[in-house]
Amino acid sequence: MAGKSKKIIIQGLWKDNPVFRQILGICSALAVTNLMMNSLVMGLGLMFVTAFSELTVSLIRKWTPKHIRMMVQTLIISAYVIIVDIFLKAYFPTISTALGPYVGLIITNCIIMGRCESFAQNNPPHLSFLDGLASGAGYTIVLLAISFVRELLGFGTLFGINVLGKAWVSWTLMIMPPGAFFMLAIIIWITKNMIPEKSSKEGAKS
Amino acid sequence: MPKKKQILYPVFFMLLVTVIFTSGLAVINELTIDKINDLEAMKTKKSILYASDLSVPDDQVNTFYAETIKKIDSIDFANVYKATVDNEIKAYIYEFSGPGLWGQIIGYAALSPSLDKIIGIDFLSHSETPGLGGRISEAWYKEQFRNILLENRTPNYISYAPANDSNVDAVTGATLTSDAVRKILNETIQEFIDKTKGVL
Repeated sequence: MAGKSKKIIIQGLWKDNPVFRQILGICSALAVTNLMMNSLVMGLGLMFVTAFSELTVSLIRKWTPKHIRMMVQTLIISAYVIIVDIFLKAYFPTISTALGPYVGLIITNCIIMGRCESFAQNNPPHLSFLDGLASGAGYTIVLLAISFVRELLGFGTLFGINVLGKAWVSWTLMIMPPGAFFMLAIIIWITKNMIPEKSSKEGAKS
Repeated sequence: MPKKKQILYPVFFMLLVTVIFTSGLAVINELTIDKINDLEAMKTKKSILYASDLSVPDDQVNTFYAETIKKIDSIDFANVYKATVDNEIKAYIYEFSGPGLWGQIIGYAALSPSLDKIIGIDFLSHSETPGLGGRISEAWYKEQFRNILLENRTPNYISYAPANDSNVDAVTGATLTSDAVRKILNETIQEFIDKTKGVL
């Protein structure tokens, strides 16, 4: 069992990373990565939603009629997303404003639906929950990596703390949408070169 | 496992799942609604006080707001408030809104009792690009609007440097958002003065 868990974690974080291997969740990865704080909250939100959606889908998978499973999954996912939205509104109003519509749009994040459909539908609850956490963490790490560069070069800060000093001239481009495209492309390029072809074929199967 | 052709079971199942999740959400919503409304109201109050240059620490906002700010309903203008400190009128505050670069910009502007000076402005909500147009809600930009004289400036109350009669600096790299703010303010100040002269 430990071996299986380890495999799930490695796949979620690296080999089958949702963003740079499966190219999922790109829209939000581009949109919220101009500040590290926003990326972190978005990532945690996604981890929560993916993990609990997968857990729920997996728990009721034996009773779910196959042909309406998509409806059920969507319902479950939206319920958890609304919970995250309400939680942020009530306890982190500034971040809620900063993320704006993107919290609600977690519903449409392909990572969650993809994992529910491909993993949770066929695996026991505890492994599904772990898979959700790992996939969510994989997404979060990529978001943090992109926003690290964007916030550092674009504002001279990290998590809002000034690190490059007053003399730093901000790269406005980094905060604007093109900055996100450049960074994401660079990350996909680097990771593609770091993962040998053989294992990528292996990953595509699961 | 139920057969594919079955109708009743899937409908029943979907209904059950929907009822469970919806009730769960309803409960959570009910538990947090007061807190969320409080936060929203607090934000508006802080915004109005900031515009009137009467900011107080967070824990005093509610009491201070209650004794200072009064809504004026007698004027044909959306959401007008009056700030009174020690029986002396400090400011008239009105809500402004208008198109920004990406979406509606909503905020408050405070004018002096004789309507010849802007006391300050604050933005309640906008959807400008973070780091660019979004910087209009940073203090350095908003603070520029303190004590701007309005006399003999009709209709260009706000004008950006380097114009000869400029009184405010625009946000670098966010010309369109800055222009939108200028336009909204110039138009609404004019409208507010026209509608309220002699009435207040």
